[in-house]
Amino acid sequence: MSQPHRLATGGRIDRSRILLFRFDGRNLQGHPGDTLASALIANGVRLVGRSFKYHRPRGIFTAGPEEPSALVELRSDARREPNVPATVAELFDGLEAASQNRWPSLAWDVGAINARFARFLPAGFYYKTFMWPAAFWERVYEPIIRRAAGLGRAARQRDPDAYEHMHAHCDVLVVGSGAAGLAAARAAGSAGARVILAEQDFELGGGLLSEPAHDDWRKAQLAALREMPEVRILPRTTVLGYYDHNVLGAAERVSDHLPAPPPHGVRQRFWTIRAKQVVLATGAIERLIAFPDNDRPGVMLASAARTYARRFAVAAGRRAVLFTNNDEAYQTAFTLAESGIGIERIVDSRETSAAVEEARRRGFEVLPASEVSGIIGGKSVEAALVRSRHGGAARTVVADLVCVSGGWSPALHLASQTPAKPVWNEKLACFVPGTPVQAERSAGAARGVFGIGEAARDGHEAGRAAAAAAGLEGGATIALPTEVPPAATAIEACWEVKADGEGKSFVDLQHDVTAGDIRLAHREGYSHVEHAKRYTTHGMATDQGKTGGLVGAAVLAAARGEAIERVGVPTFRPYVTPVTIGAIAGRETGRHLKPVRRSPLHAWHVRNGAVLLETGLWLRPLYYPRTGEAGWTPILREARAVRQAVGLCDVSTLGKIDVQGPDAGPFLDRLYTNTFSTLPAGRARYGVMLREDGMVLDDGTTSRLGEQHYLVTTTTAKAAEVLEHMEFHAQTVWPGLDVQLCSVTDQWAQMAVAGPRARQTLQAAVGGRDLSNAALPFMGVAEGVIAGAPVRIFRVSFSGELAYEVATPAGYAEHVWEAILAAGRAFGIVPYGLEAMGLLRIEKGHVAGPEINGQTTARDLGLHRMLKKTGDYIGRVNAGRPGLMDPSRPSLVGIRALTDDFDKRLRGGAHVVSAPEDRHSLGWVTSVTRSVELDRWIGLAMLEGGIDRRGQRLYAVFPLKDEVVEVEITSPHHVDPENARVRA
Amino acid sequence: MSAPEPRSALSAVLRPGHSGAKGETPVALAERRLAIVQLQARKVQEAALAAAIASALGLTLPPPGQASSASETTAVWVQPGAWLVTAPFTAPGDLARRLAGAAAGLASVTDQTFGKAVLRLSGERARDVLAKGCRVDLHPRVFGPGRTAVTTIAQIGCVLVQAGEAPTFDLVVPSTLAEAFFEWLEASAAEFGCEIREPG
Repeated sequence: MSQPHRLATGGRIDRSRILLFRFDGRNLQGHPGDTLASALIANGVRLVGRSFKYHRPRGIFTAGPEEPSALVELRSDARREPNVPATVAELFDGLEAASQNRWPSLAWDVGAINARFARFLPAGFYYKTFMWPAAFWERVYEPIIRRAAGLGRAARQRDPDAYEHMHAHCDVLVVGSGAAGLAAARAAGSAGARVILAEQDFELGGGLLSEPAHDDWRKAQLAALREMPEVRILPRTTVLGYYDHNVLGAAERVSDHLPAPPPHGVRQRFWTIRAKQVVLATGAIERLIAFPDNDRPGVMLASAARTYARRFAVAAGRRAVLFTNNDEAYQTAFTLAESGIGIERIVDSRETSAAVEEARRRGFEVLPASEVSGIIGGKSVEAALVRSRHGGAARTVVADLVCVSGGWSPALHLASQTPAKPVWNEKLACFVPGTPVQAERSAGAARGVFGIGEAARDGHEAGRAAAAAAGLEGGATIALPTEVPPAATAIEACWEVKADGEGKSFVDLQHDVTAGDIRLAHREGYSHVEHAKRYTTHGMATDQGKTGGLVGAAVLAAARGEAIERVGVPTFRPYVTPVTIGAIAGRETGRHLKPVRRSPLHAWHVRNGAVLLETGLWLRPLYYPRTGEAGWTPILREARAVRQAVGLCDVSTLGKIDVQGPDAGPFLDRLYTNTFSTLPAGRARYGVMLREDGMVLDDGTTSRLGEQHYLVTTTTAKAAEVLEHMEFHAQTVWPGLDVQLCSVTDQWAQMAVAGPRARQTLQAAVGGRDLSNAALPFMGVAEGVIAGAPVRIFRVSFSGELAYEVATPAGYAEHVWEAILAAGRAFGIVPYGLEAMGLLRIEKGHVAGPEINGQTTARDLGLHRMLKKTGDYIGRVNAGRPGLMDPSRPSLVGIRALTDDFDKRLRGGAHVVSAPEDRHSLGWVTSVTRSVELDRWIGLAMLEGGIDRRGQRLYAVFPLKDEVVEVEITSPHHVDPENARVRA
Repeated sequence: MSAPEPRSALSAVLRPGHSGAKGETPVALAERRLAIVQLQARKVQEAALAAAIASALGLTLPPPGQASSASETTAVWVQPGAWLVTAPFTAPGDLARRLAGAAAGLASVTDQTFGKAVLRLSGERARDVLAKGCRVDLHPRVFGPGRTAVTTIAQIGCVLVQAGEAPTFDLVVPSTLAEAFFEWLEASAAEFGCEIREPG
């Protein structure tokens, strides 16, 4: 028979439709409106998983996100998701689920042997048992423990689904859509507030969903809310973090209830909600009682059994025992009985109460002052052991369902993140939210106001007050639930039933923490609730101890001999329930992790086969391989073309900053170690900028375009940092200087035309303009027109050859680039990329990122002639500190391999030593390349003694690869040290 | 030789047509090819600059968070003492020269025509698309036509201008990041559908 445990009537399921699903390979049926848990119960499946540490058989314990036991893997392959509580997984047709943490099968699990060795796996066992020998930890113990303990398996493939972020703003955020939440949203909405109502369930109503008598009221509220244009209702959305400034995070499971997201849809959405006011109507969570074997499949929270009967129309058992310490749980007995489930006994830890009398009047057999002291049955409850609390032998009560209620704890996780410290309420035997510290208020059961009617009234007041606090007074009066039975809140705390024998009384089902473990932690000195938590891992599982956290604290309090309010509960932190990494990442994954920045010539590079490299945000051409070229071949070809003919390189990524204003010159004088106010218009000058601490910040050429107009160029990597540095000084250090800064990096495309034939090439491209040495000398700046587009021409060189940089407004980049290529064709022009550019600058001995690494001074880099003798500049004083002036500091040199065998390669990061086996490093290699001029490996290095070692023969060693290369120390300027070519 | 037709940073990706779902309320997306200039007042010249611009262009320099327009020219406040001024593109440098002439000695003028790209997003769901990356509250109660924000959307610096009630937003982003920004916009609009229109 299909769904043998489905009740004949009732429930919020759609019996007209059958959904087929699979659990551990079994084909099963359910209905729309089911969760995976309710459908499993309907099919009589009780054993759904194995526990974390002892691999004990586990069933379904709750009916909500607080579930500690029934964690499953959902879906398969790339969409496989571990650790999903079956109690929140919405059933859909074709759903595939598998139990986890078992091998080879759920029913017959090898890891269960851990339970036999439980005495060797006490709390904190990994801190003490596996300490020796130390080498065994990483290789032996840890892998074994991780295999045995551990939860489900994450998918190994790339997640095929999309996730996204959403920012929202509202006057009032209402978290939870039970009686309190609905009334709060309605009250705030009718006052005209912008309201967001977030509900973690797929159905709105919270506890009302198990109260058919109030369903009309629920529907009326929802209908009214849906009419309000400023109310946004978010089902399947868990608010899981409460941060400063009333910013809250929420995860919306947009498509988790579908086999796959619809086209163009996302799987989940992470909401960042900025709320003026927040109403926390998060309800309460029923607690367990720690009695021996309280984890057996068939032991279930009382309210869960009621929810399964009322909302899902499934019988969690046929013959039930109720174990309670409070009056409210009697509703479960009454409800189950109405549903045809036999109530074998009501076991009440108290001597008497109003509910005891009421139950007896209704004909239930109640055992006051009694407790459940054990369970018979392994993979399923077969009977409960019941005994009097006054002593005497336990008797066996045959049952397949033990409903347990240790009372209710307000779900104050969000409130306590605000961080309002929870306050103990002795009458209700629970912590309630403390005095708000942010713009929030709790309402209904979330603050200990129990009962549908009371909660609705409380929520209505909270909603109205929240709207008023957000500046929206008034609002309609709404009808509240009429039939209001007084909330039965009478409770006498009963936390634990001590075991006679070996039975384990769990306070944390998911992490297999027992009451005994808590006492052990106390005995071993971990008596603070935060220490006990970490020592035992109590409350550290994915359910964060929602059903047993307070019970553990109570056991600890008893061990310490103190009141529970003095012990407290551990701090609640985000996330209230687990959230997928996908939702947090949103669209920022893979190549969208960071936005890609493209040069205005990017399309040309792609069309022309460039190999691209990410450098920071930029995608830049590394080289342009021709058919059949591999390895260094294209790089060397491009570099040779520059040395022998002419090359064209996209340098648009260089930072460019417009500096304008009457004080532009003096401003730059203070920022740079050299002087710019004396630079004539139409000229460029190389400059070095220090940080305040005296280290080199950046270098580049600055051109004077007009009397009050300079153009600063920075390296690609430091563009943003240099602009920030300049803005900081302009705004805060020298506010009196009249200077304006503006990044023009993106406005101008820039390209280097370099090589002995650069002038002829550019002359042909630029037309009438005279480019002779007299008209445009080295470091000269001119304007012109290429291909009809305006250009600026800077005679600067990074390669060491006769070279120009041509800048044009980015919209003309390709026109100008193509025109220069056409003009240079006769001279053998080739485009060259980042690799050839690096090769050329190393040959020339120009410093770049590897040398200007934030730890080098101008002196270290051989740039001391750039330090002006008179006038102040940023970094001057600190650069003069004795430590930075120490002559033994490593300084820049060139190195050359003695051999021309390219297989004996130099590497950046190699140490320079006197003899191959010498352990004393004299310095390190910063940049290396194969040289086209010297036909061997060359490089730059930072070396003790620096240039004084010129001519010495030393060794570059790279022990990681067992490489030793004999090198000669040279000037960093491997090519044209006289600088004649650039002036040619 | 007159300047050739400039190429937009978005020409490689922004092709007219429909992308995403065939929804009932698609958003519309188009590039606006404008001349853009950053105008930065010299020290203590803000008032004189405002007067000069008002007299030369009939344009008011707006306070923070706002834009103002006169005929086809718009000014958007972007930082203390600085505005982005946009106008229809004519020839490279035209608008910059015009403003430099009007603001001589009162402001630093920097052409950003090709340093920025402008995307116009409009339609009933435009706010929902932007909310996927924009932290600014664009609700009609707190934002509206003529309101602007200097913000970050999808990790990209953006000057957001509400250009119309519809709602219509102009999104000014660095041209080198325009393609990345467009990719984000297109993905974010996919659930509603997106009509990509000819540049205007």
